[in-house]
Amino acid sequence: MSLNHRQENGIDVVTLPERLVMANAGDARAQLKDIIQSGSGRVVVNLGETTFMDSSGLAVVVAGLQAARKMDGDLYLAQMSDTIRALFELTRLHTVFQIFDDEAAAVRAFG
Amino acid sequence: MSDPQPVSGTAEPQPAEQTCATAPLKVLVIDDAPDVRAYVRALLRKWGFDPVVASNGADGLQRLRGGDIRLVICDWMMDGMSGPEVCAAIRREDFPHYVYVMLLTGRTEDTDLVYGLDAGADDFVGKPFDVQVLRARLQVGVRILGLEERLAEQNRRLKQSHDALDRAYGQIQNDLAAAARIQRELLPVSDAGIAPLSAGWLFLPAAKISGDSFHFFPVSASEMGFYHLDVAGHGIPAALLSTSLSRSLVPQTGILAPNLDSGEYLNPAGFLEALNAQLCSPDGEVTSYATVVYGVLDPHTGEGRLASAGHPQPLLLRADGSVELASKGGLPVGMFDTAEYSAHRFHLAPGERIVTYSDGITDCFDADGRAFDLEHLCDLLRAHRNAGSSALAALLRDAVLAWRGEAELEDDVSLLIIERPAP
Repeated sequence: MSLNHRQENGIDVVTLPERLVMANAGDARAQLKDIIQSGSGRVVVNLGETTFMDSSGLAVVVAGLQAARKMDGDLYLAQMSDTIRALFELTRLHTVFQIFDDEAAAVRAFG
Repeated sequence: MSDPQPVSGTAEPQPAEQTCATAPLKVLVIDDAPDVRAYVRALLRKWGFDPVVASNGADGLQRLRGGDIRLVICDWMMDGMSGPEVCAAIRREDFPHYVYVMLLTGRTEDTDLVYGLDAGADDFVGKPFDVQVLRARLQVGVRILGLEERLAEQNRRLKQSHDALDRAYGQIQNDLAAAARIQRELLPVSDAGIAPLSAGWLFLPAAKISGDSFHFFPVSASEMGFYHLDVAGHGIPAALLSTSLSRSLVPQTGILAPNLDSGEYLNPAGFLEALNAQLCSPDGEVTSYATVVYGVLDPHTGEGRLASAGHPQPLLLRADGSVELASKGGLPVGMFDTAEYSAHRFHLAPGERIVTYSDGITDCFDADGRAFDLEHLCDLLRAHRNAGSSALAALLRDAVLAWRGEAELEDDVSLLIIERPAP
């Protein structure tokens, strides 16, 4: 599995896979970390294609956030489905992420 | 006919040496004509083979049963068994290796090659034969036997590693079963310790051992404590962490248990903060995390306090049959060392209950991909509110298993019901 990644105005835009679960979470986590650490630390994670995420998947996004903030950057989330949003709300993680309806708005928010 | 050079002292290919570096390859010659037997035997010796002769099919078969011969040159027309009959008999025998059979076919004889092939012959050499052709055909046989031997060797190795994997898998299964037993021993066995409260629970691990755990215990002269924990992931790593956390969370277990007098057990928010500090790694990277709810309850007054870390909100089953969600909590433990937690008060009237559960129950999918979901859970709790707590837990267990059907559980399922006694 290879994460879909591009750069826009120095911001890393990463799309996560359709299912982010224990089986692929370790791989996704390592790739996301590599992308963040070789970039500016400003990251938009697009969840538009992600329909299911388990607790290991959540750890991937949190690890990404920590890596970005360690570089004085941040990680914004975009286009999450209602199911994924419910998971973030259940675990209260929606309180630590900036969440945007669409990717472009998330990229713009970095200014 | 040409007269080929003996193998020794020449640079020509040495067929017999190709498959066996130590001893020459045995070749069985079955022919009822003594002069042909003698001639072929001489040729074979010259080419470096170890010839063995038989004058009829029955003797030849008997010789083959010794198990050390893999290449046969057999005449077609013989007294007794014919060449194809010998072929067919060889194929019927269960030799430990493949026997390569070449039939000698007289040009004047009425021989049907298809019949010979059907009987199991691998090749034919016309008689009287060209010595070079016989030699070349023998090399083909040696090559094929070499391939067969390599295949057999590979199969042996595959079987060996398959057996080794089988044994390792069996060992892992045994270890998992042992770990599951240890984990079950850490679960409550009876609610006697928290009387006059009563409790019911269900516990269904997804992969034998579980990342979920829960327990209840007295924390002071007047209050009982209870927790419900779900370590991220499932299987062995989650269960190891869950088990070690359970050991340290239950005050009665062992010398490593936190001191009851520290007051952490009376302060749900402090309890979660301590747990968070324990789980957050020093380098600030999330390695393992858990959702957890911890509460204390006074059975006599029904007053309780509750703190939650990313866990599904506990359910309060009211006397009037309604189901209320307890207040929301903070972030899971083990993610952010700066996370803060606060306790929220709740009250249970006599006969009312508080239910904690892991998301394995609400995220349990049926064959059509529909989640069991919270509403369904609440409906069942409402519908069976007159059942005792352990009967209710048993009923929910059956409902979850029926929902899942034949499929294995994808996530650990656990639920704990604590009930304040009715007046």
